[in-house]
Amino acid sequence: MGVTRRDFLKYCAIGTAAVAGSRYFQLAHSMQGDNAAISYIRSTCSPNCTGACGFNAMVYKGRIASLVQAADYPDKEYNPRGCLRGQSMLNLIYGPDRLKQPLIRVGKRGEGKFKAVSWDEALDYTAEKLVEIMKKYGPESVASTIQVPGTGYVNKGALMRLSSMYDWSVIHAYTMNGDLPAFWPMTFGVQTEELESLEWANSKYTAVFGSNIMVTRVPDAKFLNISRERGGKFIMVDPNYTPTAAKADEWVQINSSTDAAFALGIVYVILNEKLYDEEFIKTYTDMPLLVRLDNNKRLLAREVRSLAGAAAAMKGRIPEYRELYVAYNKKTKGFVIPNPENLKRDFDPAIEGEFDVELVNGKRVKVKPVFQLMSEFINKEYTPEKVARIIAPEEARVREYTDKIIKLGREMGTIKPLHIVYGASNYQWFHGDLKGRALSLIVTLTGNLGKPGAGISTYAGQYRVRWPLGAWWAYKSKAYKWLNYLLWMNDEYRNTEEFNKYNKEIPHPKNGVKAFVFGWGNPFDQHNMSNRMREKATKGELELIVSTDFQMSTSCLWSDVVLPGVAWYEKYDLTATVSHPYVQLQQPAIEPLFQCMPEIWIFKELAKRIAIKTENEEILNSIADFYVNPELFKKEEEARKNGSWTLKLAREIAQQASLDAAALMLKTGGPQVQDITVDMLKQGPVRLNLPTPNKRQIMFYEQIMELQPFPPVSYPAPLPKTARFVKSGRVEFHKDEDVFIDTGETLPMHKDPFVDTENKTPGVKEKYKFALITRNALYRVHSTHSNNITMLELQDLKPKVWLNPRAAAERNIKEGDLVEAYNNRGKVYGYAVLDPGLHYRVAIFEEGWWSRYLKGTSYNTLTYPWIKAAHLIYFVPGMWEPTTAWNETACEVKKAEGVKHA
Amino acid sequence: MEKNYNNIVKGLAVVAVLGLVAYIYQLYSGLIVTNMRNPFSWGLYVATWAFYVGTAAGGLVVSSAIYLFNARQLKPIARVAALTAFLFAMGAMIILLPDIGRPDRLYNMIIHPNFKSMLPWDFIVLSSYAVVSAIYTYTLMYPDIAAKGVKLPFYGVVGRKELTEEGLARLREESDKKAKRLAPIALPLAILIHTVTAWVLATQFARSWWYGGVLAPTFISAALATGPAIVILASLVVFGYKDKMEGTYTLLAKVSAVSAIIMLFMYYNDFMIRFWWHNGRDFDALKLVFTKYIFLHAVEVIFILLSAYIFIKYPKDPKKLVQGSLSVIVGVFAHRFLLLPPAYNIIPLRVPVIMHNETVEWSYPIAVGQIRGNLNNPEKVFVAYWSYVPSIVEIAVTAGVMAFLVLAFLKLVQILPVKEVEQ
Amino acid sequence: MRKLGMVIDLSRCIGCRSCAVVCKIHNSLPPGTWWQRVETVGAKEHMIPTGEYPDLSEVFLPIPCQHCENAPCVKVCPVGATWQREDGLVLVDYERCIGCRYCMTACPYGIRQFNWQSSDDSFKEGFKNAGFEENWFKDKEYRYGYPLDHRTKDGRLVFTLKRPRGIVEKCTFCVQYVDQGLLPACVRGCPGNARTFGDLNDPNSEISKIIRGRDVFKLLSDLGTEPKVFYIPPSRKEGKGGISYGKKL
Ligand SMILES: Nc1nc2c(c(=O)[nH]1)N[C@H]1C(S)=C(S)[C@@H](COP(=O)(O)OP(=O)(O)OC[C@H]3O[C@@H](n4cnc5c(=O)[nH]c(N)nc54)[C@H](O)[C@@H]3O)O[C@H]1N2
Ligand SMILES: Nc1nc2c(c(=O)[nH]1)N[C@H]1C(S)=C(S)[C@@H](COP(=O)(O)OP(=O)(O)OC[C@H]3O[C@@H](n4cnc5c(=O)[nH]c(N)nc54)[C@H](O)[C@@H]3O)O[C@H]1N2
Ligand code: SF4
Ligand code: SF4
Ligand code: SF4
Ligand code: SF4
Ligand code: SF4
Ligand SMILES: [Mo]
Repeated sequence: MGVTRRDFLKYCAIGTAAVAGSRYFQLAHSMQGDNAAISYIRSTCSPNCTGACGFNAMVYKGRIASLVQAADYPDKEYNPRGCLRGQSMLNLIYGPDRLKQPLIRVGKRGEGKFKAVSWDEALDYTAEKLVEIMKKYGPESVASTIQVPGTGYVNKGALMRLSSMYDWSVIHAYTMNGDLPAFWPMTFGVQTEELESLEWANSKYTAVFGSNIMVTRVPDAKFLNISRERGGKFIMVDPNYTPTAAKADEWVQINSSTDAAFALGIVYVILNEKLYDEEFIKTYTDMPLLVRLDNNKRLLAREVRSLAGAAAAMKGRIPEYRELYVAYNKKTKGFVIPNPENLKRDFDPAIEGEFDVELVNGKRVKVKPVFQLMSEFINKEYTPEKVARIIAPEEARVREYTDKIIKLGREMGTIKPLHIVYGASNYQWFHGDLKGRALSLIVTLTGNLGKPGAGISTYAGQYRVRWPLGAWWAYKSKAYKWLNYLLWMNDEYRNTEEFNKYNKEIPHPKNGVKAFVFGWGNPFDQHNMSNRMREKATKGELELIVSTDFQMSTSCLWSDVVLPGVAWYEKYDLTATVSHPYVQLQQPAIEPLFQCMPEIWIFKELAKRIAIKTENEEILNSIADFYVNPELFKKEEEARKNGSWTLKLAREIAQQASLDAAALMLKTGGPQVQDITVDMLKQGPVRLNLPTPNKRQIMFYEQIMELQPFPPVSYPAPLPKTARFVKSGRVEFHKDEDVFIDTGETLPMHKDPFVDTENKTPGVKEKYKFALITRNALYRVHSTHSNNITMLELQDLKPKVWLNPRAAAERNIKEGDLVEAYNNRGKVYGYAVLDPGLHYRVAIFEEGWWSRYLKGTSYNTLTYPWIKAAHLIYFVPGMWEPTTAWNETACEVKKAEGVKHA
Repeated sequence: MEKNYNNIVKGLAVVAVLGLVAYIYQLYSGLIVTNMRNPFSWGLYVATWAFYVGTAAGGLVVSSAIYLFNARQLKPIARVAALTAFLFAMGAMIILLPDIGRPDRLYNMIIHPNFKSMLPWDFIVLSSYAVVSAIYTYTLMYPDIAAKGVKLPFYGVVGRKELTEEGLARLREESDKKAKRLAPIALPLAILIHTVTAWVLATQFARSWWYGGVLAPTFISAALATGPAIVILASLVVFGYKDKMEGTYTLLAKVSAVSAIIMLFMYYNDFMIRFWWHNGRDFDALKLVFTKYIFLHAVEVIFILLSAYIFIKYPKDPKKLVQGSLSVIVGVFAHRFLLLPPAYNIIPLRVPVIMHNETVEWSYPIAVGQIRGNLNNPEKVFVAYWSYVPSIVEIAVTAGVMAFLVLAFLKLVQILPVKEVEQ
Repeated sequence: MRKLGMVIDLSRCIGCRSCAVVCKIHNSLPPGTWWQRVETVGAKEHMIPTGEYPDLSEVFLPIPCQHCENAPCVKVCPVGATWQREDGLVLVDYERCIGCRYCMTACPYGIRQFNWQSSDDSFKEGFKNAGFEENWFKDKEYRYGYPLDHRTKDGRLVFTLKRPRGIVEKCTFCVQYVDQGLLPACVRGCPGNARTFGDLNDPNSEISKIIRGRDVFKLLSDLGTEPKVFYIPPSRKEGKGGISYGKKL
């Protein structure tokens, strides 16, 4: 572009101004507007996804005009984090469904008729009712729950603090959600572990098993692309083609919930082609431990005549939760007791062979190392041909799949580092634990643990507590009572023989649950299995339902009292996620809207009012300690007394109290958060002090590199509670608690879906041909953003049911038809989308739609609270307890008839 | 007869007022009350505009032909023809008003014209044309105005001059002379308004239905088909059918018929070329005409052919002349309307997608500009196809403008000495 | 003189539509109006694969205004309300546009959006049709978007929250931010790190380097509009249904 053109433009510009007169000249001076009036406040977007994305709120005249990704992560690769939902959060904060003030129900349950009341009235009413119920049924009949602690340690902690104060039962949302991958405690003794997403870029091979990363981990997804750009390979195993499959080098379509078979096929190749890391499995796993062939239990050192003495001596030196097992030392040609407290090894255990051993009682039994047993089992059951028959979507493709398994087995056996992502949707099946155990086997056999870019990860919502929080969460260190959600929903199961046989530790309130207090969740859509939540509400079994939310969700509609809380641009809170190890702050960019209040204040007020109503002297005397700084509490009470109390004052105090609570948690949080202060966090995100090089989040680093025993601590549980899951101090693939022996699940194996669940009901198998997979949507975080008008637009306001075109044709269903997915429990409406990438026997409905958008139906009327016996044998909340299997749902789809259209 | 006439005038007045009300409603609510949307951004108004430009041209072509080609048969209707030219040129500009989102800012056309754009040119040629046709009309009528004056309502007679016989004869001569001088300006302008109007569309390479050189000639032939038809109708209204005007009507009818056939020829010539290649946007636009818009296409072809047939077969039957004229008007109007759907519904941004053994052109959808439907009956926000049917408001406004033009014509022929004094 | 342009890496793009939403919120677009769209090429629905089982593919194609160097929309605008600034931005003067929509017809990319009604009405109608009981934000004075008016140096209004009815609007490359030395909202907000923005005339800018060093293509390049938005083609994988994006540069 030469000078002439520029001059021409200049000329035009002058011409314009001259013609239009002086008005433009004047305006030209104030061209940029008053930018000074705009300020930016950093906060953290943290709904129930793993994002925890830093945002700067652009504040103008007391309102948030826009949100800008903060992009201030010291690891530059993380910038920017954020997604379409986070960006349009303003539609919720200011949207038509935003709550304005406390509400008390006046209509029937679920009808949505409320009267607006003052805070005093709402809180007194709630306290009154709660006290009544606590007195009548016992305090444990009040159940409370918060969703995903990681998104708000302070305010969510406040409800937990209140629960511990009054001995309420607490439901761990993690298992309620089905987010608990039960293979973790079974195999590694931990709640979960995972790589931070930055580490994905370091993997040379990524195998994703049913995790739709491009959709469910939007801000992290790029690292998979970067890994590919760096020459890494990435495959996607999923019954259905997804955006993630589209980005992968290879998509392997398998039948629903046959991942375990697939994984074991891979293991078959690894075993037979000797691609495993022998030294690794000898050191870190139970592969060398001997198993008695007579009872299928691991051989205990104290059972062995030649070792009993040594075992007794060692017993005193090891913690009570450990057990001493036996291996065969090839060096000394004798039995040896591996030290469960130290993985350092001075023996060379046999992992193959069969041995005779004399027991203390003189009996001789045959034993084999776990590796030997496993090899035999896999060689017999999971040859590539057999596996192909299980996983291939069409009979005609069995050959192709056989070759594929061999090829992929070789790749996974040789390319390092290998990282497996095991998706939540994939483990939210009845036998999800078996699949996880099988997948763990792949990475463990190949030594892909403890190193950058290596391992197996599960990513659910942002759940995992990253450091001890008890100082704030437990009122005066008082322990909580607990309750398992599924056992609450599934009353009939609690009377079965199976339950009574295996259940050892799980508590349940003797009078059942009579009051339900919850926040940060929308259980009446999200957890309404077989309509049970709603039935409990309608039938009056639940006497009181109290919710706190910042908008009128379906669950608020079902509540007796709605206490308006605030979103993350209106309060202080502390967040931590698993997808990146940064501690961040939520900070108020604006004052809470209308009469909404930070939840810490709501629960403090409830605590106080309950104390007054129960006339509990002890609590009354120390109630000021609800806030970390009792002076703040007193200040507000003082103001109430002298009439100077205002909502504004209460808010200011609550904000300060939140900062105090955050500071307390950081101060008492131990090495992970040592030296991290609230002031630092106000400036931006700070990496947790992880014990790894560059503080990278690498799984089992200390176990692998420093030979510390498994498991590492899972907060907040004390180590003894979780270490008993892997008593050998090693990664365990052979489980020998009775339930595993009874169900034949001592070793990782495949079990077909529905056989142990749906198909036990006669006729179901023939009637309901589809597996209903309720995957997560791009446009929502569960039910949050269900009512976001911008997200609705992007979906044409339509909930959809995805079907394979052939399956749809068989049912005479055409693109765009309104259809009904149903089973013997319930139904949901959606518009048909014909997707050539969908498995022939799968119907997909993307969960999270408020009932309002579903013509009153609910996808969760189709799901069922299945309980797997293996999940009953221990109880550590959120770590080992029954967990939900959303996808274990058979259904059929037909054209919706007789539905009002206009 | 008188009563009938009055009823017609009343009816037209009602339609015109309704049109005005509709326009005010549209001004109040925005163009949302039309059925145009982002993917289909020009509709009935623009089609009517193109139609009016066409009809406007006919008038001056007819009257200038008298002087340029010495088509004396046309002399008697010269004034009527020139008047229709003026009215429809005005109509073409008026009908664009409701299409403009911000009519209050139209002054920008004058203070900030962008001469790379065809629209200012179109504005210039159209207004010049309107001016020229006004002058032309005036020139033709001047002697009679001078002789008898113009009787304005409420005001009385104006413009009358005391004239002698010779004076009048001299004036007549002068008027003839002036008309002769104006004719070479008028005819090219008449051609130009079509050409420029066609260029407004034909320069748009984004719209393969229009893009190319064939549109302007087609426009002209279409104009030469409708123009005479309008003049026939207008003349019949003014003069009725008189035997001695037989030649006049026959000539007009023939011109229209021949132009209609030429137009169809050019149209199908273009189709042939699009058809032969059998692929791409050009072809798909054509395909649309023969699938989704086959009805409209049938209307245009059948009515245009019908008119040509009538005009050739019965150029002397007044009833048939009316039928022929109406039929060409319907046909060409359909033709004008059909300018739009294949232009907009072949979304310019198409991406070829390779399927197993064929390539499919996929159209990139466009945001409609509105959330339509409701929860029970949701509708798409992004569409790659928009079935445009004019809204009631658009129809009312368009009908209103049309009624207004006819009314104006009827009033003007009452006031003005459109009839040549018989000599 | 700077010539601002954008590169979008389709291998990186995950189709998340964040860019479209970021754009909407920052530029205060009412329901129904989108300055940027992201669709799955060849599909009826976003994120549905094309091709035939099992050879499927899914490619996402984000489309902001291409800020064509030879912009048809600039050419056709009868009043010069749409014009190209020296730095290459194609902008609309909100105070001059007469709403003739000639530019919409001219733009081959379907970028331009008309204000068919006042944006307040679009919001009200949008909320109502989307099933909300109330047809406005709970905070009656609320409206999302960059809050200040923005004018070019010669005083032309190119961004305002209170957009006049009856005019055409479109992606401005976020002129209100770019003039402050910031990146466009969709570039700043792309979690896939798929977008690069910068000066095409500066050989050392990141964008120039990308264009020099990689295969890039432009949309409808045969039309000669000379877009300043470039695309890096998606990486092809063996045995998959492919998609052709027109000519490479
Ligand atoms: N956008 C968005 N992101 C989210 C959330 C959200 O709501 N929205 N929620 C967050 C939370 S709490 C969670 S728990 C995670 C869940 O995130 P993901 O683990 O990604 O879960 P889904 O999206 O439900 O399903 C992912 C895939 O699993 C596949 N799948 C289902 N069953 C099987 C199977 O048996 N085998 C295999 N191989 N694949 C199977 C489905 O076809 C689907 O493609 O996402 C988090 N991120
Ligand atoms: N059928 C089926 N059901 C499922 C699943 C499935 O795959 N299929 N997935 C399950 C899974 S994995 C999960 S994690 C659950 C998620 O289920 P939920 O956690 O119950 O769902 P969310 O929509 O995340 O609920 C969050 C609620 O908290 C509110 N909220 C957000 N922030 C705040 C705040 O700061 N303060 C207050 N007071 N309220 C706030 C939101 O407005 C929203 O109503 O759903 C489960 N349900
Ligand atoms: S919704 Fe999740 S991924 Fe999106 S911005 Fe918020 S935290 Fe990040
Ligand atoms: S934000 Fe980035 S990754 Fe997401 S659709 Fe837009 S360009 Fe693609
Ligand atoms: S993409 Fe369309 S609106 Fe943008 S500059 Fe090009 S022609 Fe104009
Ligand atoms: S609508 Fe506005 S910007 Fe577009 S061409 Fe007309 S005046 Fe120009
Ligand atoms: S550059 Fe700005 S205006 Fe253009 S699409 Fe991106 S966000 Fe929207
Ligand atoms: Mo979850």
